[in-house]
Amino acid sequence: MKNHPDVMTALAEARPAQLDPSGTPPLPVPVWEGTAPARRFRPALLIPAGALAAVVAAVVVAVSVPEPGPAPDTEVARPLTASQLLLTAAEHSTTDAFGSGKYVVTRSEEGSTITVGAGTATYEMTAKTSYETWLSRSGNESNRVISTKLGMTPLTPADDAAWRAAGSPHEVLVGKPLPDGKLGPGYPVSIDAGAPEANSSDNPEVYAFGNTNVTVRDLEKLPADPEALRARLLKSWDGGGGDVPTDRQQWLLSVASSLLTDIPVSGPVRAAAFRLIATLPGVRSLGVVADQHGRRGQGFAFTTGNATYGSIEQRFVIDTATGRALGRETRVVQAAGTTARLDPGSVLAYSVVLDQRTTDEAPPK
Amino acid sequence: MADPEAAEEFTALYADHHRRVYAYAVARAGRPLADEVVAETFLVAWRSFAKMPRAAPLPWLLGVARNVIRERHRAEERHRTVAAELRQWANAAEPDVADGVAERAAVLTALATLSEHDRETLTLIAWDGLSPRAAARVVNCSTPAFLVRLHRARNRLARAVAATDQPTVIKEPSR
Repeated sequence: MKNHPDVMTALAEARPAQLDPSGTPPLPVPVWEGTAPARRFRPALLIPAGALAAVVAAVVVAVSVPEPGPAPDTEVARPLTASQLLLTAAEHSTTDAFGSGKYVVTRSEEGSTITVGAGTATYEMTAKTSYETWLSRSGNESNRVISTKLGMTPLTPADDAAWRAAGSPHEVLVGKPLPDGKLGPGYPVSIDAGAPEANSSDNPEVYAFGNTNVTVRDLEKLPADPEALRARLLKSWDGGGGDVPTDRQQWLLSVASSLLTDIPVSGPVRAAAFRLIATLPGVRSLGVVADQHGRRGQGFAFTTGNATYGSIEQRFVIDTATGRALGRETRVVQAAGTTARLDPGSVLAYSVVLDQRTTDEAPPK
Repeated sequence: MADPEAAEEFTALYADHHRRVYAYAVARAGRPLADEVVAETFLVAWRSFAKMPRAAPLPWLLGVARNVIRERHRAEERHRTVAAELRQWANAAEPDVADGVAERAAVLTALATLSEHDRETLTLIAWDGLSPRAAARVVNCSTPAFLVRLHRARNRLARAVAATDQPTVIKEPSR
């Protein structure tokens, strides 16, 4: 295609000055409010990594159960071991295969702890959002996500007092937690709940294994055998990095566990994920715990961490009767970097899975 | 929930690329519509921000702008507007000032006579500065297919330039 270079050069030189705008018009999108970007489906981002503010990053809270249930960190009489728990859940998941519907529909709620400012005060608030996600299993239809801001509330009574002392503002400043423990410049964010907002996406790559995108069709093809699943997931192993673990085993643990809550897969694949997790080091049983909605299940956890966000406990709450995950949460174990402002034990983020099913119905408009 | 991280990144994206999107919009839809097209394009970009390719956003943004233009504005009107603007810019260049100016006027006049399709193909490379591969992504075709289009559009532009009354240094196409 080297012919007529002259005419292309002449055309390039004839580029009219009128193509250039006279100045920079103001940003045409109200990015700080309202029109939220499409949901980030990447489960790895649920870790409040350095680069990513906890504002949208979402993970799960297993709240310790008040009487008569045991507290999650207390030894119970005869708790299931981690592998007993995982293998029981796997057994029940095996029979929980997807139906034949065109869509996988999930409903979930996610919340995350955000440090906000008002005047000179800073305090913690929990920002919650609910999601209804319609995924086209064939990839032939658009995916649809209906998200609803549920508002922000002070995390603890002390935070509530700080919020009230600041005049109970409905607009607070949210700054990005920086690796040095400071907060970046704050941006005004409303703490009020919002109306449901529907977004469609034709991009089939809605999920990721670590940093590698996968399509909904890829998920449909995941194997139900734990060793085959390990091999398949490791095909997406790229060394990790960013907010993704750089240790291969940790990476595998993180990606396999994302198949329990964040990424909807059929029961037999979830069973393989449970069995795979049971072979990995670092998983411990928590006994009976409850999710943020008070639903009880068996908990298991592992710890991940790096210098950017300190040491974080990842907890999962499993309904062993069905093999389904009720929810997931992250808690601070050792505060550092972006989590430096939080006390050990603080919930960073949570998600609860409210429903997951397949259907031939059409997604809501 | 507005995400400050995303908002910051998006603001940077806008600062880096709005001029390029504006230029594309002017060449495709004319100046009167360009601001609107830019605003629409970045609104779509914000809504899809989590999924847009961050590494090479320009072809993606121009692809969005292209769809915005095609959905919102009627083709014939756009064609007339852009052709009229090109002629106006060509005439604004005084032919007696210098050879370069005359050549520019001839090229713009010739460009105004081409189909919208050809104009887009040529200006994505010459004015928007895209590689054929990136340009192919904008118009949603394969790179080889784009190169074929480019080859043909170049030939037609060269012929159109030769056919204008303006003095020109453009050579006749070799085939």
